[in-house]
Amino acid sequence: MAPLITSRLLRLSLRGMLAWAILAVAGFLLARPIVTALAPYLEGVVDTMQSDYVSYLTVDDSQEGLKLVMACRASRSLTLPSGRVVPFLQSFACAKTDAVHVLVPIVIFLTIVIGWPAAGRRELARRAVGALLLLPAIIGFTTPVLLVGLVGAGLHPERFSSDVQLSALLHPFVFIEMGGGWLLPLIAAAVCIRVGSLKPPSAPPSNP
Amino acid sequence: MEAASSESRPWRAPANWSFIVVFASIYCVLYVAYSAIPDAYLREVVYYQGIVRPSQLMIGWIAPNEHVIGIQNQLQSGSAALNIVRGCDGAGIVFLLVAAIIAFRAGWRRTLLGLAGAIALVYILNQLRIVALYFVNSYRHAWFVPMHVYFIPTLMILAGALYFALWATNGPADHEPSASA
Repeated sequence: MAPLITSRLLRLSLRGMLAWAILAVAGFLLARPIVTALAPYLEGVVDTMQSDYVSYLTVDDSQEGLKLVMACRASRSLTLPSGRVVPFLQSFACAKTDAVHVLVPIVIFLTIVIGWPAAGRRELARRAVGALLLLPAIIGFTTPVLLVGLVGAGLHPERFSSDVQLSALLHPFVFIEMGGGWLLPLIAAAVCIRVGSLKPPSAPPSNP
Repeated sequence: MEAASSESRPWRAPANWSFIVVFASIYCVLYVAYSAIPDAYLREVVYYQGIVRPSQLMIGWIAPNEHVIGIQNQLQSGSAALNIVRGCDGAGIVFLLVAAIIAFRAGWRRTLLGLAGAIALVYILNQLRIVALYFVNSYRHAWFVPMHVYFIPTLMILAGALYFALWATNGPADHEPSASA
């Protein structure tokens, strides 16, 4: 390999590692305020995705660490697998996930966006704007899908058996959990880098 | 990414639109194929032979007093039990790398080498991950969740991305990224 490429590759690796280390540690230490701040947005997306319940998200400490806990208020009568019926407007604990799990797509996205070299400040600025625009989409397409899928899996566990088709809401859940939650931020990062590298069209030469 | 001069922009950044579309499409095809594999086959054959047995040997070599045993998809000892389930096999990262390498459209020889390297890298990293998680679960249980769901996955994605950058920049220029969107 040419020394120039080796040196640049080394720089890229160091830059990527540094970006990852800073983002991962910051996310871990600030998981509670970050996830708490995201909760209203996540609730909005969850409520848009389905009409069986209204979600309420809190960040709680547990023996297993910091959890994002979702309570559901039934928008209609719901029957649990145990046979218990949740009446209209009654709340029940319906899903939870690790708070740091929420941050995984964000860390992946920002690590790539920050770690990939840029040609200059203009490109960095365009990339930053792209990141700000895409970040809500990444968050909205990952954690809410997971939470809705967890509720669906709890309400309809039979749909996970191999001889029954997964419902429309469980398919995205399984996809996100099986690696789609990494694919989306990587694609978003690639789009962000691509858009950031586009040069603004130059003005056409005026005819004499 | 633009086909700029190699001096000013040596990273033939794999971010042109066709790359992104092909990358996502191949990933989805691999995901669908993986979903079609029965859980029982993964648990009883693939995970036992491919992950649990090698992990058991590694743990036994590192810490013989652990007396760890492998049963189907589970590593068990007096201090911990670790289940290997769908998704714990590194398939997600392998699919990402395979999709990226194929979508890059290098020559077939370089592509095959890249794929072989990617699969080997992810397999080794995943074995190290499993063994590390076994010890974390046994002796630092409070660290298990952050390591399992946060630090290690994001680090493995970064390792995969760096491998791809290494592979993509180390070879003949048989892939010409499109000059514009």
